[in-house]
Amino acid sequence: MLQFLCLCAALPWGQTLSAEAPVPPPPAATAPDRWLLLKALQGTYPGWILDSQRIQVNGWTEGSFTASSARNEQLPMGFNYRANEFLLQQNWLRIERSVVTSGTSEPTYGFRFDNILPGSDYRFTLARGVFSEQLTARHGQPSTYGIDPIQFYGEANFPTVAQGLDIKVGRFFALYGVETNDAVSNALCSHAYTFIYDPFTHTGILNTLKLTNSWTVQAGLVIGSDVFIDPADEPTFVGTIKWTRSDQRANVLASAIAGSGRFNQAKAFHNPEVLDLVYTYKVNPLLNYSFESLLGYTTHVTDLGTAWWFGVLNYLTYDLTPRLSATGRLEFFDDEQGQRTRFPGLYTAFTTGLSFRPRKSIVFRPELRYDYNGESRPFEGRHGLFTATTDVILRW
Amino acid sequence: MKTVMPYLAVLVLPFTAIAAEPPAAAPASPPVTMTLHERHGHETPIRKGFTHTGGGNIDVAQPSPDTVIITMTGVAVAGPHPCKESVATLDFNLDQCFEIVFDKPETKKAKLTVEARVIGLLRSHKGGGAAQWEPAAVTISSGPTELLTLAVPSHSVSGGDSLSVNDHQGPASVSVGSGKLNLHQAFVLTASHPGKWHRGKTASAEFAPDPALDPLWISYFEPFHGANKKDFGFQVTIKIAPE
Repeated sequence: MLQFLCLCAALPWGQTLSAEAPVPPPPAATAPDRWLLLKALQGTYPGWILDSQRIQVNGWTEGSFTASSARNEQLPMGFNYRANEFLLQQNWLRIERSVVTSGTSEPTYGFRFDNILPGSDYRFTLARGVFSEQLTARHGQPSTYGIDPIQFYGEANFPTVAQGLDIKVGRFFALYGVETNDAVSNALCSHAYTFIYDPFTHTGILNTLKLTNSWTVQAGLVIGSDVFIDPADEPTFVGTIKWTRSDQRANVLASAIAGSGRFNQAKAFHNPEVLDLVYTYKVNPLLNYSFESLLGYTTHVTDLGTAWWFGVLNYLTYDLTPRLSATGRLEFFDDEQGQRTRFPGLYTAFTTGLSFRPRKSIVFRPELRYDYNGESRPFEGRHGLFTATTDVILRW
Repeated sequence: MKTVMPYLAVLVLPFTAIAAEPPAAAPASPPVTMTLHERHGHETPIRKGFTHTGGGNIDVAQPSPDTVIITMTGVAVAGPHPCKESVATLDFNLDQCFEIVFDKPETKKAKLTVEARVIGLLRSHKGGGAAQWEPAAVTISSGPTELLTLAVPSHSVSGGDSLSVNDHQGPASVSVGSGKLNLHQAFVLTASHPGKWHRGKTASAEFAPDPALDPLWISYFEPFHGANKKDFGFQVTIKIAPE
């Protein structure tokens, strides 16, 4: 009996070994989306030159209309800031040569050039030292529309250093936050105060090192926040550390901007220190939650001393259908001394909106938003602001 | 020992059953067969200007002793180069020697049957360019004597026209005795474009399954999206049977 049991036990063992499943091949790199411009060029000589060099040229046009309880402007609610008026917010041109991050052990080199040409968003994203005279071109006031070469960098990727080392040199987007500068990467048309009143871009060198599948660190040396080559430059550290859960359903991103933290009174330039934490969680395949908290301060501000601001941001997005998603955003932004928005107090903003994609290259994003500051009257003398906005993005 | 024996018997019995299974009956050999001998198959790509070629396979298969299937597959694409005319050509040529063997002495004559088909796509763009194939032809000869020729007439497109092709010729047959025969098969694909880089897209002759044609070489708005390409190519089927 004992022998029989041994035989029974041994048989499945042997079969398991012999029937061992083959190791699945590594996932192939996903081809980037092709939009209208490259589709139109496909099969032509210029299109072939671009494809053979891995160069993508694309962009989008974003126009919005905001119906508002304000008469003229919604500021300090930025970006779609004009009340009851159409705005061409972004006319974005992107030229890029992507680095190859998988399927090779050889270093690859690339670049990216993002340009707002023109659009009303330039007013908020423009760095000092890059066409910044546009901000005073209209009798000391900004022109409604302008251009901003918002991102341009050269990039090198070394896939054999840890699990990949990426080096960027140039002007690049700030590393933190749920929201970002390019309209197509955001769920809603309007922006949170936490995004509007913190740095948009940095210029310098940035290293991104993927340590494991879960851990990625970034460290960069830049010449300040929202400043290009300018007398106001000063060395500043930017860095992040990111953890991703093994099933990719959750990640945490901790970011810092660390410089002198001192307001440059001689140059009237703001050098904020920022700590930011973003947590994103995929509750299920349809429901996503994002949380952001931000702490910022600047010392030696004229007449104020140290200025502090805090932001807490909650995003909940539900995919109703493959073409339609709904998003809710609740934000608390405390501008303690009013140094960021010019009006002190706690801003509470609730936004709900839809993102409807009738075709892959067209997105409509209607939304309703209410902002309130009980301490000040920032919205044309009122505590509150109600806006109904819709934008359309056409990718090309 | 007594207790172990029944279990051993249970384990061993299935193996004895397998061993006792009668062998599968071998398929009966046909009375007339073909034996393949020396072969010279060449495909020459010629590219000038803004061009792309793909595939270029000559496949000779003998799925059964009395059947030979020869398939030629390739892709030629030419687009508007800024400075010069573009021409892409794939020139297929195959010389295959084969022998007719009568397995039974009472067989004196056999019927050799040949059929041919061409399946593929021809595209041109209104900005210029043309695509075509020359006559796709197969000839069976015995020494200097030509026994049988079968050709699929050529097609061409230009000026923005495109064409999906599924042409078939034959079967044609000829009476043969035992001995060696020669087969010559030829197929030429050509795509061309005048040098006008500012207008127009590529012209293409696609006669090969994926991935011979890199999709980035043809217009995104091409007229044959989703076409089933697994049977693309110029294929000749030769069968031999007792007469």
